[in-house]
Amino acid sequence: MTERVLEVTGLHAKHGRHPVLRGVDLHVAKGEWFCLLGPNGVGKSTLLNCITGRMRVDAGQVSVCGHSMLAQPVEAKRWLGTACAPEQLPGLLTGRQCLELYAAAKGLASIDIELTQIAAQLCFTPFMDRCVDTYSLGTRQKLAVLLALLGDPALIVLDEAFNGLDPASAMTLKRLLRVRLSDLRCAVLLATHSLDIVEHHADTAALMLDGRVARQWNHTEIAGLRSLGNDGIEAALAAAAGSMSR
Amino acid sequence: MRRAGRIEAIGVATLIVALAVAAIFIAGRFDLTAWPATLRDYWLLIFALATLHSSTSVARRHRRAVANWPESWLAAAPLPSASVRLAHAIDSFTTLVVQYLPACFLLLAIAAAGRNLHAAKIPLIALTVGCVAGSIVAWRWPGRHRHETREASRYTPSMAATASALQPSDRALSHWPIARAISTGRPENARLLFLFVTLFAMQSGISALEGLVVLLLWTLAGYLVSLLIAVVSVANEAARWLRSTPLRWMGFALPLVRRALLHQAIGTTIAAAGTVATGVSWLQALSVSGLWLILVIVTSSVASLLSYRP
Repeated sequence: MTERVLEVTGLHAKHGRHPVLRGVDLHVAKGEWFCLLGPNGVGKSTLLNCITGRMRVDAGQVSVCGHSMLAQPVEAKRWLGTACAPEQLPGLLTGRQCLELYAAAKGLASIDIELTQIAAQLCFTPFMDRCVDTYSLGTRQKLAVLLALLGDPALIVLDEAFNGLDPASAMTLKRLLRVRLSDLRCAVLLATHSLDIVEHHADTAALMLDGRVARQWNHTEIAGLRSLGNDGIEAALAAAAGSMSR
Repeated sequence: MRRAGRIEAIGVATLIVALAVAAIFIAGRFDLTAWPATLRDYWLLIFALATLHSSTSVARRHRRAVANWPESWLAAAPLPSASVRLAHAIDSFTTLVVQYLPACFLLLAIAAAGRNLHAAKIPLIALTVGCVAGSIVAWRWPGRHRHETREASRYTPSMAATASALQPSDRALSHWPIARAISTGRPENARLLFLFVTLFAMQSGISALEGLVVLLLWTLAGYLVSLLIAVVSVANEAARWLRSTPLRWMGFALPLVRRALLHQAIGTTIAAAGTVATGVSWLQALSVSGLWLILVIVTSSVASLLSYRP
């Protein structure tokens, strides 16, 4: 896990005049599952939006596979796979149209058969030719994840992607991501509130508070917390949040 | 029938009855008694309007009745299919009947006020045949309901999986504005406006053919304007959705406007031909069409340019 896929340094961003990110620094290496934690409204989604180029950055640098998101956005986005929020999916298009259009927008010459197999594993195939408007939250989430996996991206950015997924699909997705990570095909950056994922799958976890990364745990530290039992990670998070607020 | 639908139907019926009463009163004071005789010359227009109104009204209610049936508390009851069909028929036709009867009453009342019931015969036949024809068409081909296809559950088995090959394509971006225009401005929603447009057209004393052309132009204008608005709103939505992809402006703007521009060009050509048929000169029709197309191209380009960000 040496090759850096994502580097974020001194990132500042605002919503209008309200500063949301106040100097975020983090890096994600290939084969790494990076979990972003934190209470609601601390800037996790804003950070992901800045990383994926959806939102303008006020100061700082975002670099994906060595390409600056500010200076070379088109080059940087070639390496990205983003699962947008389910409500941002176009309701008037079918799942198939979304996938085909997204693949064309990513400049892919063809769609790998592997994606069709993943769709089948996630039980998404019967919904492929229905309008997104008719999808449930979980089905939308599956489509968003499939869009993120299109074109074998080097960095997969997921924002609460496991919300609304049924347990079987969530397990399938976790296994798929694990296989990709162990083959060093990609890195995963996931914003989540699910400590279960941190406990069982994360290689690195970061706690965001007040627009900054307040505390970061590496693979060894997470393994240590895991050995403390069920409440290990929860207690560590509470302790980190408590020490920051004092 | 749903409560809102029933209230709507009662409201429309009350309005028409009130209009009929007012018509009898006004017909006595002002001379409206010649109306049935005037309407006789417009039988084709009345027939077209009645067919259009009944087909869209019945089709919409039929689709809704069929789509809502599985959620009915009687859905699991062992009812014969004929009873279910009858329930759907009552649901689909009640509003039309409630509108049709007062309209006939209004016509007969005005004719009776002029002591010339015979004059109302042809308009009544045109109205009745139009309503029946439209209803038959709507009942036979109600169209597909957007939410007709339901998600699979252990009660409703899933459709057969269709895992045909996926190919990168920007066609969906071209279809998107069309889908938006149709979903926001469904033709059936404009059917009451058709009535007013036709009445105004008839008031100005034009022929039935010209009245039909006015209807056609009204429909086309509504579609073309809603398509232009759809391009602008889809440009925003699509740009936001595709912002994290390495899509360039040309790759975004061209597919976005391609099909919409084709529809605009065809629609404008038909509209120009329609206006020429009503006596407008070719030059005038062409200049108005050209101006509209320029407006469409400029608006579409500016919308895609403003919404796109690399």
